[in-house]
Amino acid sequence: MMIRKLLGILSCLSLSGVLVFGQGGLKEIPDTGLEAALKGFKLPDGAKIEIFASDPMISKPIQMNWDKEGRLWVVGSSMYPQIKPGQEEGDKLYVIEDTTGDGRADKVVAFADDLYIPTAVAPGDGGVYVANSTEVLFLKDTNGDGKADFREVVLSGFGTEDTHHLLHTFQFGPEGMLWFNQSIYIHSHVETPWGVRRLLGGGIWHYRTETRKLEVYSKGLVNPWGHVFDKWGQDYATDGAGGEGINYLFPRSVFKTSPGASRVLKGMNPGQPKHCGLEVLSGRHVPESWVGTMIAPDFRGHRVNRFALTENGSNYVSTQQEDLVASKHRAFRPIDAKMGPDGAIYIADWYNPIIQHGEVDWRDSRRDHSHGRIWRITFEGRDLVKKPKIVGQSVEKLLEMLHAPEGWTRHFAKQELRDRGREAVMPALDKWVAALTAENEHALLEAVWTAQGLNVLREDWAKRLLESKDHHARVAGLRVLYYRAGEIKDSVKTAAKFVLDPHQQVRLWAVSVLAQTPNLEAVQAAMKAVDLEKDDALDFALWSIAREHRRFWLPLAEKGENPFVNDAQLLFAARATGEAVAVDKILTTLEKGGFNEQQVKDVSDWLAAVGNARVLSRLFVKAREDKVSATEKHIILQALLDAAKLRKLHPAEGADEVKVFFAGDDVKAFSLAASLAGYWKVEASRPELEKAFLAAEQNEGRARAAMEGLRYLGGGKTVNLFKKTALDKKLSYQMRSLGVIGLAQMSPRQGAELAVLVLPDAPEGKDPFGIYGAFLATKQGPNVLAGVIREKKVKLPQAIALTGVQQAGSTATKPVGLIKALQQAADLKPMKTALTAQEMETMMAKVAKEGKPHRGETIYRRAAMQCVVCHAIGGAGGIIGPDLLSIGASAPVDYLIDSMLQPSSKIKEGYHTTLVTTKSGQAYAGAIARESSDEIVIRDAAGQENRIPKSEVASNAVSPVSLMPPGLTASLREDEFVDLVRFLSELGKEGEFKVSAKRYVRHWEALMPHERTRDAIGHYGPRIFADNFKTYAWMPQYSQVNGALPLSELPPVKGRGSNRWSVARFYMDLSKGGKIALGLNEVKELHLFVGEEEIKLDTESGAVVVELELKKGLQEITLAAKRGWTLKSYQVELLDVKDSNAQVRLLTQAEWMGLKK
Amino acid sequence: MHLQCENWNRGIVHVAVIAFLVFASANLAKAQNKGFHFQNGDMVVSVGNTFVERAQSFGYVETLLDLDAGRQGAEDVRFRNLGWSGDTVWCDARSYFGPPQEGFDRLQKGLGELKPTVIFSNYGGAEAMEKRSDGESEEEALKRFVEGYSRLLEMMASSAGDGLREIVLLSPTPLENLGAPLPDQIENNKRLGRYRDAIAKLEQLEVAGKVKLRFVDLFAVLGGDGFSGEVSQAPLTNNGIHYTEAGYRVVAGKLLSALGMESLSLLEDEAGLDKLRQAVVEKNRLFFHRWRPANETYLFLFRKHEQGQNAKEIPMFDPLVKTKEKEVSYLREQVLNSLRKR
Repeated sequence: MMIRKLLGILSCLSLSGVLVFGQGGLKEIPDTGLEAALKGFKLPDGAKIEIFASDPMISKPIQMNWDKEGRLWVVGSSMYPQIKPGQEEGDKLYVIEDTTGDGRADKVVAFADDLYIPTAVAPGDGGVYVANSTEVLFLKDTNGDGKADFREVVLSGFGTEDTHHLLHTFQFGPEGMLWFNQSIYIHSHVETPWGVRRLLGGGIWHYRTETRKLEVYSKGLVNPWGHVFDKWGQDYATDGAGGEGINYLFPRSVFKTSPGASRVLKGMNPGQPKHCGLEVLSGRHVPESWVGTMIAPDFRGHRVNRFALTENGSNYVSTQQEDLVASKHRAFRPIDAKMGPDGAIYIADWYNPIIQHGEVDWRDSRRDHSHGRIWRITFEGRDLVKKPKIVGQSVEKLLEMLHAPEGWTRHFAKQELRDRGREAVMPALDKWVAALTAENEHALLEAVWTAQGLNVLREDWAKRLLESKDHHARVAGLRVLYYRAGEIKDSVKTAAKFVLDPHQQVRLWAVSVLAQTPNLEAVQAAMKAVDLEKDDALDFALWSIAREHRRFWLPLAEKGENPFVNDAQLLFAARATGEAVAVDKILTTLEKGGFNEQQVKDVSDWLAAVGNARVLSRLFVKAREDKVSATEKHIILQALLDAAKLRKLHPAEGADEVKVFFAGDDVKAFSLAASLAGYWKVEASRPELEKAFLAAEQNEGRARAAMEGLRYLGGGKTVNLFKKTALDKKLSYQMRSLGVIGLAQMSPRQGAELAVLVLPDAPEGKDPFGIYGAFLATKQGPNVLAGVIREKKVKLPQAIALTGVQQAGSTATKPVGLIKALQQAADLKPMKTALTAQEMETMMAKVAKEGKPHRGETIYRRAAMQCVVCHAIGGAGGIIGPDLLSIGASAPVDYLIDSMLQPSSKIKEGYHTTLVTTKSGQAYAGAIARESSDEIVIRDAAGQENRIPKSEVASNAVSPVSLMPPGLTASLREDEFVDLVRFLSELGKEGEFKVSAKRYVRHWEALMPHERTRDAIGHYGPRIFADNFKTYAWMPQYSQVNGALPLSELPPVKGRGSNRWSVARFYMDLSKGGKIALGLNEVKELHLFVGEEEIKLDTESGAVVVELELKKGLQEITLAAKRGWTLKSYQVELLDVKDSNAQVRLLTQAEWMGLKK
Repeated sequence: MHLQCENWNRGIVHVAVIAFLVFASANLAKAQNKGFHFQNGDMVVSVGNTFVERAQSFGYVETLLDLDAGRQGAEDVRFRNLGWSGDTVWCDARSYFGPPQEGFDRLQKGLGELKPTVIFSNYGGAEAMEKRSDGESEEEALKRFVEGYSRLLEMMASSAGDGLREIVLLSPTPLENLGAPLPDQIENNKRLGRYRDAIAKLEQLEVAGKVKLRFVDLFAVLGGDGFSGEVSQAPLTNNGIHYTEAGYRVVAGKLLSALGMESLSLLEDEAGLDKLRQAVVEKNRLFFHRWRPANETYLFLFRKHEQGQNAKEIPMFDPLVKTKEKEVSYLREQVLNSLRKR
């Protein structure tokens, strides 16, 4: 029935009235005039946007950079995404200038007009550097006509596998090096006079033009088109396809998607929009409170976001602020942002209704190839900065400019000083530095940078920075040493002094300097930082140096010596290698109880991955000790199970002792032990396992664990048990399902014969226990099941057959045979998924005319639709599919419709399914979560991580099948489908469905009905909901786009009599304790708890702001509401409290699950 | 060596004489290295690293080879440049998402399609400059290189088709010292010399189809052997390693001499030569978009189900290359005629 519904919709569509559309699919090509663009903008009070330069003066700008004369250099490409046969390379580099000072460019020169998709530009060294597909060019005008007549290929060998990933984001750093980025699909191989440099996948390079030294600085990120240095020289990147907002970079940092990375770092804003460009606001023209904040263009959402960073350990917390600008104009595509010489903000607008070239045909006529703008944003009532005269200025005056509040002025003064040369500058600089007072650290840093720009290392000045009380200066000083650590005599000694610095970022940079010197002393010095607090970034840096320079300390460890000063450091370094080194020493400490819980986990996980059978025996002995806590027992048993599963490795002795974990009520220990008994072939445990298996209705978890155990024990006894269970009609469907599943995994053929007998009894056509899954998880399973269905001419009810078709349809192996067999078995017509052009037009017209986005959101959130399980909106929701935050603003409606009807026709980069089959015939499909030299971790459609040893991999391929099941919308009526599309098409556009920068709580978990509540509430009141009661079950829940959590969607929990309650909680993490505030839109019938303590609310008023004094660490906030006649929606916003020291952030599901562990 | 040519210009004789002297002094002129000869319809494919890749955008090497082919009377000689920055005998640079083997396979496929009769192969430069993995000695690295090169040559010989006659093994070119802050390159040049020696020995290798292997010592003729760290007074490179336009002009002359060929017209018919060279460069530009197009991920790889329909455009470069090639051949005749008239 369900299937027919959409077919019905489609046939109706083709009959209903036809609207005439513009080209192809895009509803309408936006008005290309400037007026229309200006009308679309929305800015904060007092901010004003004007045009600085527009087509035809320039077209299709991709990157822009100023020169020291205040001219703006802009590269643009009308050839993107691909040259046409017969076309000449004709892309341009423009130099535009406002010669009259009226804030509008009046002069343009095409400096070069023979480029091919130039993606970056940076003037310098008397000419200009340009990224030109595979090459970095240096162009120069030698005869003064304003056009390039000298061309040199400076570097070559950059990949072009995808033209929106090409080398990009050129800039000169404060130290005078040229920096640039490449993205995920690019593989670069560059020969330099200093050796060959290779970078596979995304990453960030730096290049000193006078030495021609090229180095990789950081790796990974999906499409990092934003990179900026702050006032103290720390650097940050944004990602055009990554969605974690701003990322803090440091040497050797590795982020997601870097090939072969076994560990990656995270960005500061998970679930934030994707950005192209990044700039730090500075100077006197921008509002004071904005200085130091960062702007990042969100080209999908037609807006420029703004973020405020606060320091947090070695990293930062980034909080989104009100947008700098947002537009309703669908072709406004901000892709670069720069502060200008006048203190105003300049935004490059690529201008296109269609972005990138993966989704829409390259030659699609809706693509814009000619427009493009540079906008200028100023602030009313604030004076502009007088454009500084830099060229021709005296060295002394230029040095004074290093004190300027405008980053622009300081940067170009340094550029000019660099161009003047050492002899002209160094003596004056010496004098200037001598006159600086001690507290003038920032000026001293500018001086160090100026010297670096001249390729002069002033160690003495760098060391003065190291002596500073200000950690920014110490970090900056270490960074100076970092670039040339190899040439500095005592760099190890110097850096070693800062490994135990009170500030984590200083420690991080000390470790980074040490990593530049490959010797034992450097690693020993670095490892001392293991003893102090270390956040993820610092931990990463330590992990990295221990691995990279293992050849120095490992020989000592292998001789049984500890190269470091304590066991914790040795454990850290040994684990970092991912190999079995220094094992005996570490195990002895474990046995003596010398490690804390976290360290026990570290030891267990590591040794499970690398230890031998004797090592596992010793771990197992430890797990059985009475005095070991339950948590530590679980940790060790889990590790032993990993070893059994992944490495087929068992303890050398004592396996029979596994039975000690069967007694008692520790379910988790039982589960682990049951599996271990199976893997270890402990036949004596069979009776206990059979008993637990047959008691599935009392405890399914235990039964499944027992099933696993029995399956691995194997033999005729297990087969008979599973068979008997599946065939016994007196048993529950659950029990019979488990029988089928158990057998299917042992013998697909026998399992399939049982499956066709059990499936017809499936309740409501659902497959709640995963019979299909058992077949789809193996390589031959689907064919075997299909074979049995055909041979035995099986008839199945439509509903359960459809369930099977859907599950099979989203399996990476694309089991066509099984899908056909199921369709025949239930007489299902194959689903129509492709619309004709006419049907598509009609459907789009309906979406535009009749679609109701609010209703669409309700449909989106229906549990049966499963959208939320996989997709997030602004970070709230699943992580399996792409975040839909601004899908409406970026994707045309026909694309949205196609994606839902045929998920495999459109797959976002980074969301391709990888299909790994193992030598034993298992198939794992999903996204690669991590990969190392000996293991690959696949995250499947259920969010489960599967660890597969590389030695077991038979094949590993990118599958053309989306993880999104086809037919999810098959159950919808036409009007519902139209509403759903309309909702998606509104996401990210200016209006109600744009995720606001306000910090609404978006991640929740809701209390499931529990037998305890009805009686207990009578005794204790609603505080029972905030009790830390062990058997409460909580399910994930997310707020709507507007931040509200509708009570109607939460499970009703029993109260007294006919009263029903709903309870939801969320978590915050405070890196510094203090006052925070929560804004609540509605408090009637509401109870609020911090931990188990109730906070009294003034329930008479409507909206309230509640101030809370909170301690450092994880904080649990619970809201309990009595359900009344009308069901309200609750919006909770995190607010700052003035003058509070608190540093707080809202946690995502994944984060608090991690922290609670 | 054809030193007593009739009407060929004096400049070239001059270059050739110098080349001969360098050659002789290096004591590397081998009896079996008789002059290189083109044949009608030759398909000449160059493979290698940045040195080969960048040669295509200056055109000197190809133009001079083509002119001498004309002088020798060979018609319809075509050139295809498959150079790739940073490439090695394992084809590191030619692979995209897979291991180097993927690049090796890509090159094999390319050779299978182009069916070269002559291959110019220039490897060793990147390999010698690559950072060695922990614990590997130079000897071990060199041994690995020789094995890798042998395997590559075997692949070339067996994949290029029956028409393959000869593989010219070009040694790496030496590095220049351009003065501080650039490196002096003393050690690098010594190592490159050792790689050169290893490549020279490969001349004796027997590969499928009895394809002739001919070693050409560019390292020696460009002064690599006598190098002791002196700063170049008239550099041929812009960074010590990669040749400038003027540099390639010199390299082209020396290469031809070392091949026992004559580099024509360097001084006499500048205008004609330049026109020809520009046409060669333009042909190379068109061919580049044909064999190494941008966006391969969508055209041919794992996202072709999204935008693979655009791949139909890529073969449309073939007729454009062909047309440009006709122009090259016409211009070559012009230059040859003008030289013959002298």
